[in-house]
Amino acid sequence: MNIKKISVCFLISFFLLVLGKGVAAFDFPQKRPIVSRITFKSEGELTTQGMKELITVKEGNPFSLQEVTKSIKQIYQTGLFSDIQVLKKGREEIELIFLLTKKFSVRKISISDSGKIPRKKIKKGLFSLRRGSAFSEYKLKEAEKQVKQLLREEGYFSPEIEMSTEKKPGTSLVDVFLKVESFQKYMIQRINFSGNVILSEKRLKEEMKSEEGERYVPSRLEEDLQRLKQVFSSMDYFWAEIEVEKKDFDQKENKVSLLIKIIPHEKIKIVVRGAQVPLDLLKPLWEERIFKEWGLEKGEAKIIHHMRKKNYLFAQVSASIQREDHHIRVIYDIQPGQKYKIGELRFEELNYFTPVQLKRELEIARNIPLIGGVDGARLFELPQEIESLYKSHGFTQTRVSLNFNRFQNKVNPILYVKEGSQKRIESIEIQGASAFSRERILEQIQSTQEGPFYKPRVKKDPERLENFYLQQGFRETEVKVKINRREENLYSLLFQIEEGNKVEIENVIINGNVITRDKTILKELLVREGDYARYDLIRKSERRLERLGIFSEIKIEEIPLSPEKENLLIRVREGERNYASLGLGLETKEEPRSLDISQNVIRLRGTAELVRSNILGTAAQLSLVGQFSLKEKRGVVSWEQPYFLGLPLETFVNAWLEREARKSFSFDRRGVTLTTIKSLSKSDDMVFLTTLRWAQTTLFDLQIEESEVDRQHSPFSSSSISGSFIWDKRDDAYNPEKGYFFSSVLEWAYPLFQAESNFLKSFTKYQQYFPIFSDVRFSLTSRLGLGRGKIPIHERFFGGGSNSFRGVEFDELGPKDPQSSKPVGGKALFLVNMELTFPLYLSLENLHGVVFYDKGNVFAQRKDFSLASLQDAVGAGLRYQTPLGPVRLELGWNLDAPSQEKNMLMFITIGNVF
Amino acid sequence: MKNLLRLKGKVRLISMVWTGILLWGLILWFEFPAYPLQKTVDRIVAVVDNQVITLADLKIVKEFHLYQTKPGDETLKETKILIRLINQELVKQVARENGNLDEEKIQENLERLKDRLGEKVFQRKLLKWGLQPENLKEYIREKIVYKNIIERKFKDTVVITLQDIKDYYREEYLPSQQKKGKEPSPLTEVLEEIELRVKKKKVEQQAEDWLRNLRKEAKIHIKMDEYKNIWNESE
Repeated sequence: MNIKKISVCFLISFFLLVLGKGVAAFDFPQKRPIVSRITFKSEGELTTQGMKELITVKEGNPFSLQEVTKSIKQIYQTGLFSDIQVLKKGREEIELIFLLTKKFSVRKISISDSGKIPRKKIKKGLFSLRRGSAFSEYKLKEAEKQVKQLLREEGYFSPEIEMSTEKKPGTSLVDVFLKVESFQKYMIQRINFSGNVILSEKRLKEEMKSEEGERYVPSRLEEDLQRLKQVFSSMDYFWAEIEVEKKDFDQKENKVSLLIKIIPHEKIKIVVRGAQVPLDLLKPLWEERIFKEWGLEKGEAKIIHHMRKKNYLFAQVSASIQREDHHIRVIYDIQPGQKYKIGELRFEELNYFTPVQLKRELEIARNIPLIGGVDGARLFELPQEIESLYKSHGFTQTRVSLNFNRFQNKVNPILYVKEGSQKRIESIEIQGASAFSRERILEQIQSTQEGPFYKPRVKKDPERLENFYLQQGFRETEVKVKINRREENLYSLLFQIEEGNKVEIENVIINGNVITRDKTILKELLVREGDYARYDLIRKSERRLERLGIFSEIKIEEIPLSPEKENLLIRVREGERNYASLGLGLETKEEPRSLDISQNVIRLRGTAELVRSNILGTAAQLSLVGQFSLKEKRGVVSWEQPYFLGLPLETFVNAWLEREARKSFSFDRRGVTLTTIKSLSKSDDMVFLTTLRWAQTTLFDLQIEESEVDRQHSPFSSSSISGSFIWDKRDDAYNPEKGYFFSSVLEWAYPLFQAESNFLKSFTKYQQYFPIFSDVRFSLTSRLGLGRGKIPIHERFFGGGSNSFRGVEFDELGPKDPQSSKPVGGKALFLVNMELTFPLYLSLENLHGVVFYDKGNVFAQRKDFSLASLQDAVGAGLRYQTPLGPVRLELGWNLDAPSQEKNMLMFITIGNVF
Repeated sequence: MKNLLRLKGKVRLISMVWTGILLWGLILWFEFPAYPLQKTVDRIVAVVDNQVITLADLKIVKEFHLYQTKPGDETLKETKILIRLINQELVKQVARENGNLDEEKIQENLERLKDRLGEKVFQRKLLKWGLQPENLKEYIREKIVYKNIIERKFKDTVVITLQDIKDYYREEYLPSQQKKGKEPSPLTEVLEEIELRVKKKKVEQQAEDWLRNLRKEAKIHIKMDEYKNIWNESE
């Protein structure tokens, strides 16, 4: 065969091969291919879970790279995935495969080591990775750096750390393991001091926790330096500089010597002459190196404010500095002048406001004797406050001057108000609003036609309008306002609205719920597929989900699909489901007669609680509570769920067993209640409860004559239905300072299911809280209980004790058994409690004093009710505020007690009286 | 093969060599098929403070020369284009601007792009990437917004001194003119032009310093190695 021919054949074959590959590789599409199929894979497994609805690429549509890239961005926005890749298969009919890498979150972090490293401290100081936070390799590296730094600060140098992770299969959770394998420690060989030390070395070392011969811990040394600074500061060396000048490490011996440099700078002595002013008021000004003139000026201002508050209205202060060697004396000379009583405030030349209106706007309380209205410091601030108030009403040139009419030791302040002219809005024009009427738009802004012109308010109105559009489902609306000055004090406003698009919800996608059913989540949603994306309803839905109490994280995100459509992605992370708590305390057998409680019999009391939440993924909760003490034992099983027969009514079913010892009887009771709660207001401050109750009570240890009903029926069964209305407008349920609380319950017990009950009871309570001034508060409570029918003793009204009438012991108010003198309770109760609380010591904010007056009684029958029969008690005490309410120590005197009885009682309690 | 083995000497040797080459070609064909079974069409290349830059963004910007151009920029590497895209994203976030530009200006830019590439090439590129002309507007918008923000931030704050102009004239203008073999004009004649150039240079320098700081403070995750391979695979 011819070599040439063979070569040519092979050459042609080779080039055809290569060319064919090249031609095929070089895509020359004639028309756009169609997307025939879209699949999603996560961790190698097929997944859908609402993914197709999230993206704009659709099966059957022509392929568009732009849509693919948009879809990647939309999926990433969900926050569920750390990486997304799209593969393409086919030529004219293509399949798109989305490869999704899940974003993991940290389930737990375990630190192990060979020594005694402070694991808790390290976990606490670790910010890049925390339980529940998102996990990534980047964060793992950051965590390693942070742990090394934290270990160094705790004296573990050059640590070797091994980090590993374990992903929990089937979840997006990962456990992180940190193993500290080795580290170096140093002993402190020597601590020396340099500079102008002033104190002895021994004294300085006594203040330090770092010691020679002990391990060197940098964080401890840092604390030591702060402590030394405080020591020098207490010696008036406020500007002392204390730092580590040198650290000599001996690597062979693993020892370190420290040299601490001390530069005390000047000693600063603050001298106040002429009046008593706490130095704590002025010291903070001089604790940093400051511009001295500023310090003097600021100090003068603080002293004047302090003196005015104490009603030295015309106090004068002059400040100066004296230097001597390394000493600085800051001298404040005060001429306090006379102390005045401040009379009623008077206003002159008012036109726009009346005096009453102005006082209301400024929140100036009436001038109550001994309590007062305005203090001296506030008095001098009033001119500026009034000018600001007028400004907000369009008066930009108002000038207020404060004058006094002095008479002996009293001043009557007069505020002269030169109002000036008011700027007004002549007209408001709206441009570009097609979706809403002009009236509707005007309702949303605070500026009004013919109303006052106040620029900051006008500038905020566009934001208000944008928010309004957002609430109505519009997105990307922009509002601008143009202010046009027509005349001297007349303005016209032009609101230019560029309405965005009204966006519809295409899909609602739920992610992250493992136990909770989709239905449970969807029930709380106030928007559905096809609804407009009303922002207020979306945020409200988030709050409703939070209220379920079963999620540790909730996020509702809007993922735009197009200018008019979006997906709503609900991301949740379920919280812990099991809770257990144990409370232990002590109680005395009898109420204490003195502070020496060791004279009394003391027993343990306790509470144990187990809660399992989100049962069957329905947000229902089961709890078991047990309480035990000398006087009562109780076991309660509760079932709580957010819905009742499909209606949005929070429902509780309780079953309980209890034993309680009262003053005149003891009882065993068991029962079941079903309660539903319906909120009557948006803010949930008004609710209505309906309760169905069945209970069986067995009396024992009866220390009074048995009543007919008690004698005939033992055990006593009652079945009842009650309706309760509660309106709570207090600012704080545990520590209220203002507002009011109203509740009213009507209970009808009727014979049902072989029950003996046949009575009607009502109980109404009203509380009002008044802030007077400067942390002084007045509160009033009134209670009225009425009953009719055959009421057994355990259902009657009782009064007396730390939470009702502080002139008698618990339950002792009202009629007594003629034989045993034990309380028998009654069918009518009336109580009024008044309290005045006031601060005792300025630096102890939570400590208050209280004086109180209680009036009331319990009556055997409603017809026995008489105002003349009401008893009176007065008293005083101390309160210490805690987050759960005040701890109270009170002494009460019953003004109506028979002379032979002890009439002073002491009460120690937690919580408010009412 | 039988016939091949019957051949003798040189002929046999040459035939065996070509057969080997052919076989190797066939192996390559199946190992790296002309049309792969599945290929990456798009993926995340960088995340800038939770905002994604995809491979498609990179491809499109490169394909249509949509990045900020300076003389000599035409053959920029993908890494540099990516950095420019990242800068754009950071500036957009800092300035919180959505780019309320005149639609006309964007359309103008699009027309200029078309003219620069030529209609046929423009259409072919669009078809290749499955794009419509409208799809390019978003990229153009971002480019213009970026440019406006930089100008607004630095143009008016940059101070040009006479010394700066003199230095530029001496160190850059004169040598460049000499290199081109041209007679350099006196400073007084080119003062305005040089001032503009110096200003532009300073603005770019200040912008670059600012951008460098922004990049330091931002959370940027770049998957550089991955996107490089993806780029080759996709082509």
